[in-house]
Amino acid sequence: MGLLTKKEMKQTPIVDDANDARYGVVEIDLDKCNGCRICTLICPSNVLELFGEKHNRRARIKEGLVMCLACDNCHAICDRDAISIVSGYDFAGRYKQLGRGAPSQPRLEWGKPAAGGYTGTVPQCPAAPEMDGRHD
Amino acid sequence: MSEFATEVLGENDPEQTEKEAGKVAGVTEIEEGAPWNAVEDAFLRRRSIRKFKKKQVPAHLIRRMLEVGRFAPSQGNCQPWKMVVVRDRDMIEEMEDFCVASCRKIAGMVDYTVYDKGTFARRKTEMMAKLISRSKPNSMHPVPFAAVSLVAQNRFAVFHHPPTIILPLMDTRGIGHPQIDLGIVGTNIVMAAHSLGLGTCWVGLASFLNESPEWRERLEVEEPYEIIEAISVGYPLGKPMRNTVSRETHETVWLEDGKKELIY
Ligand SMILES: Cc1cc2nc3c(=O)[nH]c(=O)nc-3n(C[C@H](O)[C@H](O)[C@H](O)COP(=O)(O)O)c2cc1C
Ligand code: SF4
Ligand code: SF4
Repeated sequence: MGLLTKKEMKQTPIVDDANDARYGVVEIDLDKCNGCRICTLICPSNVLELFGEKHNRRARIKEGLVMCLACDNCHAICDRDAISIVSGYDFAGRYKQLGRGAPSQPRLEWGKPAAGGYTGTVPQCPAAPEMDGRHD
Repeated sequence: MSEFATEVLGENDPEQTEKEAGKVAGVTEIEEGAPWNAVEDAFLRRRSIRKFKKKQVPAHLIRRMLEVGRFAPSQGNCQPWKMVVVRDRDMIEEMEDFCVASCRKIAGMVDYTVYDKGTFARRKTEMMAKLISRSKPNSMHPVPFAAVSLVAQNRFAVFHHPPTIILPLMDTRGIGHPQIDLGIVGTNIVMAAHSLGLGTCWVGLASFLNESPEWRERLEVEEPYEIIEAISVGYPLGKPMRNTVSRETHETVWLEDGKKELIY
């Protein structure tokens, strides 16, 4: 892979600019979460934390720059089925994700929602002008 | 089929072949919608493990994993790898420290996220990040960029403090694209580990070690070998395989009967 052109270089997304970078989105069901903490320990992006009084803790997403990878490992380990991704990540410009549909649990039959899966969405990062049109 | 082939292979009975294939996975008939078999389920439940118990993995289990690795397919059967196994706690911590220091160096040059917008430091680092992305676009993808930034801020580990690290070295003279063969041998090792109740994590950030003559010497890495990845191994904390995960679906081009379909 050779040198990028200057135009391509300019398309490098700025990772803390919401116009350039959309990270994974997780939803936490506070009625199910018992604040066991394990998701906060294994999250590769260090974006989860506990909040609330002792004996009544729950998980939540941290403030500030939250770079969730949408790996869903928090869901994999949660004993309470309290957390899961609802959307993947996407970047504007050079690293725009291509040809993606909504996230799904493993499907035994295509075209049908998988059992136990959450209904996901496709992230909609605004495309850089040069690379528009992905979600047509 | 020729007479010889018929004699040796028997009549070609497609149903029989499908049944034989099923036997490998422990099932006899596979209909659409049939539950995942044991092999498929293992692949679906493997996760990257980043919190390990302190307990060391018995050496014979590591050898068992390496043995499964040895039978991985490779281009032209060239097997372009050499394994280094590190089980010395102090050495593992030193490897961690070295890679953390490398992340700090890079972050110091390019991590604009730690500065307020509009400041000189912010403009300088942002410019540097874009410049470096010209020659190393894949390393400057936002996800590894974020990983380096988190490591530099002590918010993420490199190896995740496992009791054992496997470094599958790549013989750079391998046929075609030896990185593919390294990925496959690693997958064999990782899946064998998973089947033994062990957890693994691929560590791309380990490639910093390759740039250090001192580390190359300590780990017995000589020409024509390169450290391109590491695999951390240990007993996982909690039950990281309790649930399967959701991942994005991918556009798939399906060509059949002269028609073209896009399916997800
Ligand atoms: C070649 C390769 C390198 C990776 N490098 C790292 C790494 O340096 N650090 C890390 O925590 N995870 C690393 N990962 C793990 C990925 O982040 C992980 O596979 C991905 O998020 C999907 O999650 P899963 O493995 O649990 O399915 C790497 C994975 C691969 C295949
Ligand atoms: S793993 Fe589940 S129950 Fe435990 S803190 Fe996280 S969301 Fe809550
Ligand atoms: S999906 Fe992965 S990165 Fe995102 S919050 Fe869950 S564990 Fe963390």
